[in-house]
Amino acid sequence: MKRKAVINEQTLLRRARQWEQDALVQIYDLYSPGLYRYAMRLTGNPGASEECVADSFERFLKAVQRGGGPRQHLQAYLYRTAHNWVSDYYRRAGPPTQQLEHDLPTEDDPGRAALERMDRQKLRKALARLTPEQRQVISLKYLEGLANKEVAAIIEKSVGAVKALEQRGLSSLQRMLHTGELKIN
Amino acid sequence: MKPNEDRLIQLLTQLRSVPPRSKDAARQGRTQFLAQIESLPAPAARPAPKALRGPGAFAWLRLAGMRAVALLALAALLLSGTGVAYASQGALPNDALFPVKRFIEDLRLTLSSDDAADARLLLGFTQQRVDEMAGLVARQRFDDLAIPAEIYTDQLMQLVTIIVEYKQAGDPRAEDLLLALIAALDLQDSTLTSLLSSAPELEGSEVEGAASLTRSIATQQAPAPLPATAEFRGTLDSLSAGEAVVCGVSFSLAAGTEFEGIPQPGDPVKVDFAAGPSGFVASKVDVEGEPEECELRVEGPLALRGDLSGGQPWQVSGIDFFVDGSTDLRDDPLVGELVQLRAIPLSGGAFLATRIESDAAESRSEAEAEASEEADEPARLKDIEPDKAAQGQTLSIRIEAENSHFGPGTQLSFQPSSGIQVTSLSVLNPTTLVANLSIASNAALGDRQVIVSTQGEVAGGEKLRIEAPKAGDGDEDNSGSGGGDEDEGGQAELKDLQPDRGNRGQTLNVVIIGEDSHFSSSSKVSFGAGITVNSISVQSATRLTANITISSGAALGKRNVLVTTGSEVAGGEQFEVRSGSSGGGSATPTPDSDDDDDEAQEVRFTGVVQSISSGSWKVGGKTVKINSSTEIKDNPQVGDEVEVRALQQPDGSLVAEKIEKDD
Repeated sequence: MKRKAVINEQTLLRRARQWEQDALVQIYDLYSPGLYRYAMRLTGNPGASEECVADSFERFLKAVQRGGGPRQHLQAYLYRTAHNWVSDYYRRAGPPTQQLEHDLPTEDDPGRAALERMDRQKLRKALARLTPEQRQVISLKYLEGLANKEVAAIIEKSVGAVKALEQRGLSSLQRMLHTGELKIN
Repeated sequence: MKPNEDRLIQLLTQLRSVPPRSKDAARQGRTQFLAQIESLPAPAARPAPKALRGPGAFAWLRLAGMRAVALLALAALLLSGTGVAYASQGALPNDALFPVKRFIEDLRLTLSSDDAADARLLLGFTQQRVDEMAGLVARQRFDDLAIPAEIYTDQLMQLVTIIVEYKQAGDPRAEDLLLALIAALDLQDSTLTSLLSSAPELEGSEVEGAASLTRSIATQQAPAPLPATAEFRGTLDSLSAGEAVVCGVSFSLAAGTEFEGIPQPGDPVKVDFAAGPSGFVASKVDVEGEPEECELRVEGPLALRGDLSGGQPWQVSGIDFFVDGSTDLRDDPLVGELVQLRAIPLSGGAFLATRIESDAAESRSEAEAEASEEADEPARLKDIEPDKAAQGQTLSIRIEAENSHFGPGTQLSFQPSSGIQVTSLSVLNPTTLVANLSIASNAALGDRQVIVSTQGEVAGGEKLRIEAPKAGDGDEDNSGSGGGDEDEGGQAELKDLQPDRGNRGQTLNVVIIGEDSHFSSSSKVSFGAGITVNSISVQSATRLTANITISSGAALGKRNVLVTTGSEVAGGEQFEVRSGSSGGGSATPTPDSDDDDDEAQEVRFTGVVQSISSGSWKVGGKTVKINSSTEIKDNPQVGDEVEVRALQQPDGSLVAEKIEKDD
């Protein structure tokens, strides 16, 4: 098995700013899969997600080429750009209405899988009803698995604000998922 | 609430999975990215600040490492006071020797030892520019005045920047330079004022601009930067000595305005600013700002609340803006509440809000909603199923309520109470519970008020009728939907539990086998107080699996298990809670001890590695223990997504068997 090299984001950024093609490609290879998954989780649309990745990296390239772009927190910059793209996408196309579920690899237990699928669909609907910032924090923390510090860098708020948004988001989700039409099993 | 939260987080974690990305699409995206790199020109090298203060013509010398010997030789020749260099000192703009004069100035700046030396040179050069302006006016060469005026402004701002930097760094040289500057400006101001009064042609010219700047600095009337309260992002239209224009919005530059990088028109910038009495004053101009959109962001108390039709302005932190139908007004903030505002510039210096948020409004509406729920809607029972029971019968009932908060302390009672025993009670959610009842064979016939108490909350309004047993009704273990008239055919009941026991503190799967049952995704499973049903999966109408957690305080012994599907209640099997002590015969609770009979449950999950230590890893919020037999593949690092196979111990802890990267 290949051992993953320790990647220093700052070094990569510095090299990217000097327009070193290797560094730029390395950044793309490093972050585009995660950005695609992030967009996919939010839009459920593979075509839109590819577009989101392409546009986010194009913005990044142009910013660096102009001497702008991030000096640090590269990952945060890219996620923020992708999130803005998705927000614009929602404005253009409306929140996702298509089936977002797909067949998760599951135990050979169709009954359980069906039940879990229903609950996940309800959770997606509940997520869509959160405030945008709550949704962003919950998505980044629980779907992307990012730490509070990383989330704070992306949404440009303090770690305390991230925790507050997370708590409010979770409480709202609990309220929606344990009462009313979105009540889960 | 904890089990609910765990369930929520479990569900959220499941959403992590996305369908595999199309390899073709991914490859195409990468190719497109490579093509973009190729198509864009490499960024122009940005020299260091000192070089930028100096002339661009010499940046290449610095970047090339300054061939010192050659340069010094050249300098010696040029500065020797002889030849062309000397002759050029009297040259005016557009004279043949003026470029030589400027060349020498630039060279002297390049060779200077530090910023303080630059400052002293710049002081002299600004005087040269003023002299040149006077010379041009004397010769009535008004068309050439723009050249020295522009250079003067530029050199003066470089000088001020050096002094401000020294001052910010606490360098004592700042005071000396400031005194020298004020003295020089005094002289220059009087020269320029005299020029302006002597030549009406200069009205509105660059000389007037230079004089205005001189006076402003000389009299220390340059606007002091206020603490920034807002930021504006956009493309820089223009930058002059006293003003930056971004997306058509003008920002005054004060002596203390910080610059991060040297912005050029066309650059994306972020301006931190405050609204002063005479307009926006920039405290910092940053070329690292994110590109494209022209957007104002400000957070502060709402000072004025105008209308929603774009007529009357709103105001935050001294900035006026309009709100209309296009504004994403997420809350309805009140004056004085802290709001976060985003706005775009309109022509004429006004702003249109695109988004307004208020945490206070959110909290207020939540609190109001909760208060109104609490205050206006008392808890009450709305259904009991079945609502009849026969003397001598044991049965399960399901109670539905509204506005209630059923929870761990919830109690069920009947009025009058005699003859009815509540043998177990399970709260399914804040508004639903199921209970096992035993009706005495001599219980008084007639209606009983059903009362459910949760701390101070009392919910009533439903009745249970006790009837005489009908012919054919069993007299014991008659679990099911009770002695209702509608009973017909085989009654649903439970036939088996696998396993039928568990230890305090354990989380395990229990397979429940029913007969004549109609298990479905809406089935509710109850193991009684102290056992939480985390999830169920229904395999068929007569078979389901429940994942349960037995709390460390759960009552020891056997309890009834109930599966409720609509009005169908299936019972008849018991589950035993044991202490988990290995002695087997002791009834003393030892919740944390292991039971020899217990088997660890295998669990698999994926998540991001959050931390790695010698004995345990944290993955996706879960802590897994690592031991010598744990197989770790692909050398995962913090931040990697991994798949974990682990054994859940009776105490709930996880011991990893295998961890591998999940690609």
